[in-house]
Amino acid sequence: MIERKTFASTVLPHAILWTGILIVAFPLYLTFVASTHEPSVIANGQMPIWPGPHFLETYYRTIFIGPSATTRTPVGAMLINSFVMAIVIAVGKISISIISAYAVVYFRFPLRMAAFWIIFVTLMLPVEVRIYPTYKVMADLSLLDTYAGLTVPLIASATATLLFRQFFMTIPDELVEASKIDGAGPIRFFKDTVLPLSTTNIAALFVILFIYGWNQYLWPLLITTRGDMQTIVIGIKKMIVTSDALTEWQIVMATAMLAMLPPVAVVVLMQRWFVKGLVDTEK
Amino acid sequence: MAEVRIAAIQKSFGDVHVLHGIDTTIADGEFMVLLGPSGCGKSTLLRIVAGLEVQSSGDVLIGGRNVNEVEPKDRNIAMVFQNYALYPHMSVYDNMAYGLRVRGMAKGEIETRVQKAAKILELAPLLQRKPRQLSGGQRQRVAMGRAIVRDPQVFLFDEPLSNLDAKLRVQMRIEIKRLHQTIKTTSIYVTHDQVEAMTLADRLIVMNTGHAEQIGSPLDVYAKPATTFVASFIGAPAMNLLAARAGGGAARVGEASLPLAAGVRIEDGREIVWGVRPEHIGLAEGGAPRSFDLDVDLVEALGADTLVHGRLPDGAAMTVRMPGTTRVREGDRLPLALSADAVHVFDKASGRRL
Repeated sequence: MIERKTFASTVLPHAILWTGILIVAFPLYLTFVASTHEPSVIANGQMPIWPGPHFLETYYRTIFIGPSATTRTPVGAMLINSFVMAIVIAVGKISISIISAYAVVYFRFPLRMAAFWIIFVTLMLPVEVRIYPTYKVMADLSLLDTYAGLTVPLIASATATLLFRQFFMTIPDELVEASKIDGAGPIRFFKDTVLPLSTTNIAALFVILFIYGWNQYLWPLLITTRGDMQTIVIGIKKMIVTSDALTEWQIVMATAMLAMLPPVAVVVLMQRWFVKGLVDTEK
Repeated sequence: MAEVRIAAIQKSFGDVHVLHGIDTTIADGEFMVLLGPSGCGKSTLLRIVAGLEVQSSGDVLIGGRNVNEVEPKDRNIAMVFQNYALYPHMSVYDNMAYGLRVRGMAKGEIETRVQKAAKILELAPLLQRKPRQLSGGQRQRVAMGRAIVRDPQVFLFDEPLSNLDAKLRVQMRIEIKRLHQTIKTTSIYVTHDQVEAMTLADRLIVMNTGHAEQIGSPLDVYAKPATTFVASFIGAPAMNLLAARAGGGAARVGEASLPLAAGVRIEDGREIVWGVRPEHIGLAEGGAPRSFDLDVDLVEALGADTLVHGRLPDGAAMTVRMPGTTRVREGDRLPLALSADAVHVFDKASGRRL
């Protein structure tokens, strides 16, 4: 695109972008600042604008000891719980949905479309809707306060199945036929052709699902009661006490900062794949 | 290498009958072309031979072995697809090697075969590239390479050149012909392009609406089309076909009286279709007897040839192909001559050659 550069066309877009960045970034900055001060500094209502001197101390306490008054669980452990939950949910959802989409697209079996529609209908039944029966099932299976209890009910995914189904339907039939003639059976075709072609889709889904798992709130809140099974998102909530005791705001803020890091890292690391997915569209 | 026998193949998709009993034998090393307009069932027939579709009835025999119940991978065939169907995530080398690897061939043997095929197809410098880094013609060569390395009994080509531009198509056509002369594998080639069919085929099957209209060598099919469909499908520009009535040893088209084919006896009054190829009509000059007059209404000068479109006095349209040196203008009335040898006569009701 050829355009004459004018004041409006060079400065204005930057001004808008910077304003946007500022609006998004300032609260994050403030969170960080708050995590480096004494609790009393934050509690008196006069938030300083520059970071304070307690960075190392606060983060050390947060990660390895935890807030003294409330949960008493080190945030490091919560991070591990959250991480396990998010990874298991993302990997589980992707593996199950890619296999079920493969079955629905490439095999002709009785009730194939019925199976597909049943999967489809579960879109209307997120955890929030089926929370009581799901909880009952988990409790009867004695899966409360376990990683299985945290993750299994969230793994079945109609969205990912649909996405893979749509993608598989864009793989030309000739490729299937060429594989057949080359002598590859269904499992080889899946392993040698479908899976490599799906990598960018898998990467994109992984990012979305990892963040979905990481941000889970309601379900972990119900299913975990023990402190050592807590996820970081629940941990933040439990650190904020409403009565009697003093909330240790610097630790809450440090926890919030730590809770943000893994999703950011996943997005940054996976960005390469997104770009690759956008560039090599040819099948 | 093997003979392929196609015996009474029928195919229906639900109520739709796409193939109505095709019978033929393709000799060992022969290049057979299936030619027909889209929807005539030629690709379905090829896919039945490949085992990608299952026939409703009839048998396919490859090298004397009935393969009705045999999986595509065990039929010892290789197929080249219209859109190449290369594995996009594999290099050219891996694309060619894949079929051999799946079959568990030793690494050294794979290497030898791929290098040999790459040499034949001039792909050696491209072996490490991905398909998307290749041009259409190169991709088509990779697809052929993938077929060659397998050293199958039969090659199946499903309109392999129709995604290429005109110039490349001519070039690849020659390469396929040369390849077949070198390796002499029995080949079945599907196309709707009559030039491809005429140049490549040892024999061709002209198909229409699920029937084999004619099976024969390209020149036989050109010289003696079995039906009006074949007559109009083979040859460019198409054969002039006029509805006529036999009478007094001639074909009567309205007022005009046109010669009948030599040696054909037809009872007077019978409804026929009278045909002659545009290239077999000439100017009546230098003593040649005038057969009819043509009122010219359009002239296409192609350089080497000039196509003259016009009407007989009673309005029937006719096209004549003349040498490019002929000077003709719209509005001229041309006296034309043709020899009875060049005339084709078909029954009107059945469309069969008389």
